[in-house]
Amino acid sequence: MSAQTGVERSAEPRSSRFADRVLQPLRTWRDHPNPLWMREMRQAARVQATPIALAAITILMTLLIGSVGGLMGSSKSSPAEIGAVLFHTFFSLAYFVVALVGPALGANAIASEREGKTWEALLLTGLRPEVVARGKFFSATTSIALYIVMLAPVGALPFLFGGVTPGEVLLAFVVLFGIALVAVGFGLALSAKTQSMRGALVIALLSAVPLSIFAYTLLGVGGASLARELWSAPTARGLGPIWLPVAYGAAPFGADYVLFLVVLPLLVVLMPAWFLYEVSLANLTSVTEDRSFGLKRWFLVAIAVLVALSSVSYAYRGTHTFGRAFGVVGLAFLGYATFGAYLFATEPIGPSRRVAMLLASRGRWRRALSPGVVPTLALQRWSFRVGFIVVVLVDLFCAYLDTRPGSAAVYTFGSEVRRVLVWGGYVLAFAEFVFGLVAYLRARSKGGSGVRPILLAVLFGAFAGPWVFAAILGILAKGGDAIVAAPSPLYVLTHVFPAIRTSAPGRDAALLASGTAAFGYLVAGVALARVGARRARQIIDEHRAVLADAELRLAQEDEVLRSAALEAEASIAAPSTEGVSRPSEAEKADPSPSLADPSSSDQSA
Amino acid sequence: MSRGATDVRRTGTPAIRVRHVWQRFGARDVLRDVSFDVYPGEIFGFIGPNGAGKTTTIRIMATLVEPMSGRVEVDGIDVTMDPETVRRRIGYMPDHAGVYDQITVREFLEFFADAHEIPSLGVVDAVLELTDIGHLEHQLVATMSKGQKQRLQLARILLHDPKVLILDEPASDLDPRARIEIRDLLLDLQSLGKTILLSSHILSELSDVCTSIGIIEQGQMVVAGPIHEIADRLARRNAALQTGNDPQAAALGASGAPAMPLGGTNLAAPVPFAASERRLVKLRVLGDLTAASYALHGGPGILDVSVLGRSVHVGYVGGEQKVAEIVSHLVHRGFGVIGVEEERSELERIFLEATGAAASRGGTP
Repeated sequence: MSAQTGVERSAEPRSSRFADRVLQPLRTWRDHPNPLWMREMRQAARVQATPIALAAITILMTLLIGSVGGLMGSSKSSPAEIGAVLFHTFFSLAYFVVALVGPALGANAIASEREGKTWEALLLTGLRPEVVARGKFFSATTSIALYIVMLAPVGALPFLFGGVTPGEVLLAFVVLFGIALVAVGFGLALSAKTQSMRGALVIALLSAVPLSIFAYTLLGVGGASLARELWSAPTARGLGPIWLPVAYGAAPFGADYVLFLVVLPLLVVLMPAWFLYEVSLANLTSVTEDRSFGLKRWFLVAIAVLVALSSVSYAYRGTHTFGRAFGVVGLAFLGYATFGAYLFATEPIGPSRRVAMLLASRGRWRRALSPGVVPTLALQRWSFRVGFIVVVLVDLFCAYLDTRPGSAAVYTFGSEVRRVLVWGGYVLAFAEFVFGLVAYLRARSKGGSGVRPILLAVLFGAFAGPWVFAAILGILAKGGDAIVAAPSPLYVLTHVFPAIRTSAPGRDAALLASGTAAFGYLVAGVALARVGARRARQIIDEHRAVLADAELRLAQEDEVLRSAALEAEASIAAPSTEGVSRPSEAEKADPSPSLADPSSSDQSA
Repeated sequence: MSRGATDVRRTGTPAIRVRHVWQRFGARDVLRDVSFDVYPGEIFGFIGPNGAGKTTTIRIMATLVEPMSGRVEVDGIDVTMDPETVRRRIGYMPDHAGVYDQITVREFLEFFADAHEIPSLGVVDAVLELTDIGHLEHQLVATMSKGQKQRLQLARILLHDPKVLILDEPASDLDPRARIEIRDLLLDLQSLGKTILLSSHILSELSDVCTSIGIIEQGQMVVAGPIHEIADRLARRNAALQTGNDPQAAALGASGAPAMPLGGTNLAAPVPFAASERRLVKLRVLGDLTAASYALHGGPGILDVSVLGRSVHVGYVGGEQKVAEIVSHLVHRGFGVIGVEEERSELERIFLEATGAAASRGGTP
């Protein structure tokens, strides 16, 4: 039953007809919608500022598009060119509207509950975090969809000029909606963590501005460039920043089409959306529950995706860029290791009592993804090692194929092996260090709040510190080999990695320095991980001992109380004998408990 | 005549059982070995100054915080191990609970009914009627007074028909009329069989409604149990301390923990009907007040009688039984007794004595 829609749940058995089974979720959605979504829509309907904001944005956008169209028209461009320019202008602007309004709407969602002190009431209704997250997500998405719908007539203007097909406009709106989903999810994830609406809004906007510009540059401008290279400008108007909807119609169907226009766009939307969803859920879940499982599951899938993309990337490298590909892949893995360490930096030392009890009945797979410093460390290390080794093997296999006799490869298999060993070994050692450092810091930290800043400081020191040191020594100014910068992964990537195939002077010294640095990272990482894991286990054991002691005391007390209750019952049941006074008539008449009533001793049972 | 809480027989499984709970935030122990029981049908007043640990204890009961050690059970269910079930059995109203302003009262309750997945459409009407806010059902929550919002909160926590109501400072910031309304509502809920735990640091809020109390100071329970039992225990202890011949009472004082080991259940020994302190009761009597005062004068345990305004003020020695005897005596003499009120709230006296005793034992609780 839904009190908000007033619809009772049907008592009839479910129909087995295919049409009914298909329509059932829609009927459920209509009759028993997410309660939070329903309530938020009711609230939103009473907020008078919403239509004003919508109208203001639409009017501004219309004026902007009109101005661009007018300027283009005055320069005697053809209608088709005007249409194409308006198309890119409108959807670029719409992208920024969505990329900024989406996080702002999402940011209000949960922070408003916390700030309004309704969060605990909501939590105690028994609504699962998934339902809360979905309800908030739907309501914010509905609001952003309103913005998109209001903008739709303006977005259709380019179509009137020609140069853009209706399908491209429609696809562009679909892509815009996909971006809106991620933008709302981003705001929601921030909102789930923050306590105040103002804080959530400020953080969301401050992050959304650079991120949206970065994404526009990378995926819009950079993506268009890549698409032009791949499909050599399929249409006369070329591929602008809003290239994806155009490319769907223009690019020839094939493996590139599937990879770049289907798989990658889906991954670009789904992986961040899933991550943001899991982050939201983790932050909506009580600290005593298992907040790790979803994020760890995502972490594993993400590394699998990274391995797959890295492997596929080898197919797109030329023989001249072969070595660079592995350099970039190694850097991507380093980034991923750092990100993973940062993500799980505030893991609890071990599972709570409740989680431990629940995990006891679960399988090994579920326990491997349980909260705690030790399982997290194991997950990070092993997933990284396996993933990276797979990528290394794929690289070597591709190199083997490339360097078979008769090929035009400009390198030898042996040189590629050396490069992989140097850079790959360094990456693995550095990742060990990062994981070990986080485990150590978390085990030593009381609440985990200081781990992330320290981690960032150490990483900054590791990446930039050796260069700063080299600059202070004046090595950089003199143009000498900055061998003292070997502890920085950037030095290995930029100086050692390209030099392996050459016989440049100082190469061996640089290799030795890099090897020493990698060995140092490995030893430090293993040592930190061991100390951290030992400390975490010690804390867990101590806590368990305290709990066991408390349980023992409670059990002893229960026993004492049970004995007292039995004695009291026995004394009531026993006939009145010497030493026990008979109850007076007044006492018999009054059944109310008196202080001397033996049953009062039974209360403790 | 003002309404009072119905005394409850403390038998069976406690509705709330707090046992040896410790909690620490940072380096500070906010709860130290807190134990007490609340029995079904009781209205339990959880008393303590600000920062004493009331809200932390309540949040543990409400499954919002996991205790570091110890156990809390609600209706026999461990809040740590099965919070979902506990949440279905409790109604928790936090201190300064918020509301959704831009919806109507009915919409507010319908939302929470849906969130609780309540299978009946009529439950919203039922709680509107019970909490007497049916006439406001189409009013925006934003336009309600504080008292009305508190009633709305009570309506909210009643939607899923919980056995146990946990109310954190329910009457704070309310005007006198709203306080009276909330008090009467709590008594109605008690009569419906609900167990109620309410916290406050304002004793007058609790004195009219509570059947049992627990006093907490600096994270430790000072005392807990039914009010009359605590009063008698304190009186017994005072007497023992005066005469110095009751080893049990002296031991209680020395141990620094008058709180009973398990929520006021240290009652194996019958409590003697003895009290050494003078108490005052105010009686509102129909008829000739002077004649009524003469009728009481010189009676056993009666120390002094005076007529002030429209009431007879009686100084006496003894417990509640003595008050009953005084009333019975007047009624037998043909005087109609229409009101009985302790001149100083017994709760205030207990609080002062219990916390004073704790403080005099060396700065702790």
